[in-house]
Amino acid sequence: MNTAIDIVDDAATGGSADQRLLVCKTDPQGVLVYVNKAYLDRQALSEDAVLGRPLALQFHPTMPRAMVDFMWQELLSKREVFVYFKCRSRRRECYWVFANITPGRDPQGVLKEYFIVQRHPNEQALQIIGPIYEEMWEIEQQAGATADALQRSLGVLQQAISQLGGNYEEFLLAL
Amino acid sequence: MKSFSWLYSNRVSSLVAFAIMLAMVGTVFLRYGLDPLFTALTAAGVLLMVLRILTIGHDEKLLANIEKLAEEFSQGRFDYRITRVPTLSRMARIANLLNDGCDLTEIYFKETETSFHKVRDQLYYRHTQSVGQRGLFVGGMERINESLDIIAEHHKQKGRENLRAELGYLKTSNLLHNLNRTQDDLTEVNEQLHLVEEISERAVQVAGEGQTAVSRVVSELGGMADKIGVIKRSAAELRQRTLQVSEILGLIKEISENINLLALNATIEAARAGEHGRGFSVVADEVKRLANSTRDATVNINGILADFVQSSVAMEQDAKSMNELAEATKGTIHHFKANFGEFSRIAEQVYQRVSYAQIVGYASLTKVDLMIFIQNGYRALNDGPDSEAWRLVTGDYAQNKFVLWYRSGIGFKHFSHLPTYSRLLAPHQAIYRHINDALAIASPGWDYDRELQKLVLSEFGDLEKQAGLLVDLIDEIEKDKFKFEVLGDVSSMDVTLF
Repeated sequence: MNTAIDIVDDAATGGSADQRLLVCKTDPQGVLVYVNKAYLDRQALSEDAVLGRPLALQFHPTMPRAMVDFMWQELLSKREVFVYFKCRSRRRECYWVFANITPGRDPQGVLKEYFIVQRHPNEQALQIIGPIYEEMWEIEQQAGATADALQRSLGVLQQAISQLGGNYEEFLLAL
Repeated sequence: MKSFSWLYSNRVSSLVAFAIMLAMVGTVFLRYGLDPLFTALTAAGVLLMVLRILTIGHDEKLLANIEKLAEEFSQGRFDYRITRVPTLSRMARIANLLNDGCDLTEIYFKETETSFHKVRDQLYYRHTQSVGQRGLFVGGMERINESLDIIAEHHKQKGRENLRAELGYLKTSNLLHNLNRTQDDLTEVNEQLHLVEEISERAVQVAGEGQTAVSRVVSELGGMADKIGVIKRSAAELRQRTLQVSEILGLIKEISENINLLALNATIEAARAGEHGRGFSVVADEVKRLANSTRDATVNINGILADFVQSSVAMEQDAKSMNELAEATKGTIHHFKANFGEFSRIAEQVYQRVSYAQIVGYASLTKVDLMIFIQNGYRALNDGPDSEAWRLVTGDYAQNKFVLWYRSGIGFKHFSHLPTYSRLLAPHQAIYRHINDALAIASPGWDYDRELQKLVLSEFGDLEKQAGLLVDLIDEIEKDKFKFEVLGDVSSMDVTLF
């Protein structure tokens, strides 16, 4: 029954499953409060199994910790942020997404939620980001999650950015 | 109509149907007693009914959620989503599709808002992300991205124009200033040459006077030669006359001797006078004849002496006129000497003026070279790294025209011993550095960035300041050179200048 609906969805919209947007919302603490159908299909999880759990649930074990820290740092500075996520589904499939996270506010300007849109990444970008993340993760693995190791891990990314010029966001959007 | 609204409620209509069914079962039971088949069918019906009423609760809740979403949507809010969707419900699909629609709409608005927010901060790279978008949103986002590119290009263009205008102003105002200075230099050269012309004119006049003086001397000397010829002839005549006088004087001597002899004879004859008286008459005759001869000779001498006096007078006159001539020549020569003195003064003045004009000319050329160098800096900025101007201003500093002038060229030859000279290089090095720094800043995408533009502008501003300083120094050197060397001791000039 579940699968049948998936097929109907794809047929109706003309997209293949992995091209669909994976959309979710979290509360200000990063706890998932909404995920779309495509997200559940990709993760191979039911809605009940996802809601109330942290966003980090979807991360692959080799996703660099420094990147996650960087993401939250940016969000706490009230800025939108682009990040490549390395993810793993319940079926242990590894997949990449290009995520954009935007803080959502109520009309009084109080932080209400984070809106996370995960897009299908292009192959060229992954060929650059993949090795960088690998190197970052290795540094973190060897030294453990110390502040110094995370700093060095982020340094790998910063060096890659400085070689191409521009800031982090320009770097990612130009890939 | 309103009293029938309960018919539209699943729950109420189901409960009513359930109640009617229970009433039916009760009636049958009272009338016909307990029938096993009927009872079993009734139990199954009741069970199904209860299950349905329970699922209707789920559907009702989902419907309420759908209603809430529709309400939010109608108020222009897209952040509400339907969660905990019962997967088996017929309405689950509707809920998911509505969620998807809200997602797409919210993404569209957030993307658009973020992009334009960045545009406000003059960041144009944040395109809306249309990957995964659907339907009309895709085209909308693509058009927004096109617009962003146009805005960026426009901004870039505007930035370029602003900078070009500011640079242009800087360039033309300084160029004008420098051209004015060069014009002053050339006016100075012109004035000096004009003075040289006046002086030369005076020299021509003096030379003309000198020529007249010389021809007068020549003609006066010619007159003197004539006079000298006359004197020579008079002298020859005098010698002739003198010879004649001496002949006459010889004659007189002879006569006197004869008279003396006669007187002796007369003395002898007188001794015998008494006897022979006739002898006296012979002597007397002879004396008479001698007396006549003497008288003739005397007359002759008188004539000669008169001639002699006449010749003397002529000679005296000649000598006098010769003296006068000599005096006149002396005056002319004196005048001539004065002319020569003025000639030498004129030559000195001409030398000074021409030297000054030359100094000003050298300095002016250097200034023009400098101006050309700076103009090439502006052109390099405009034409980019592949241009000739860029190559010229970024080339080897040691091969720079000014540096060559300074180290081994005309500058070194004529000005290097002056105290100010060593101060020339620093501002020129600064100019070279500022141009190169400006071009380095200007390399990648500088026309995008107002901050980079400001940096470039400030480099060019500093450069123009240094150029002003350098031109002032060149002026100072030019003045020192004139003051110390051209106006100074003329004899020392050769030593210091060449």
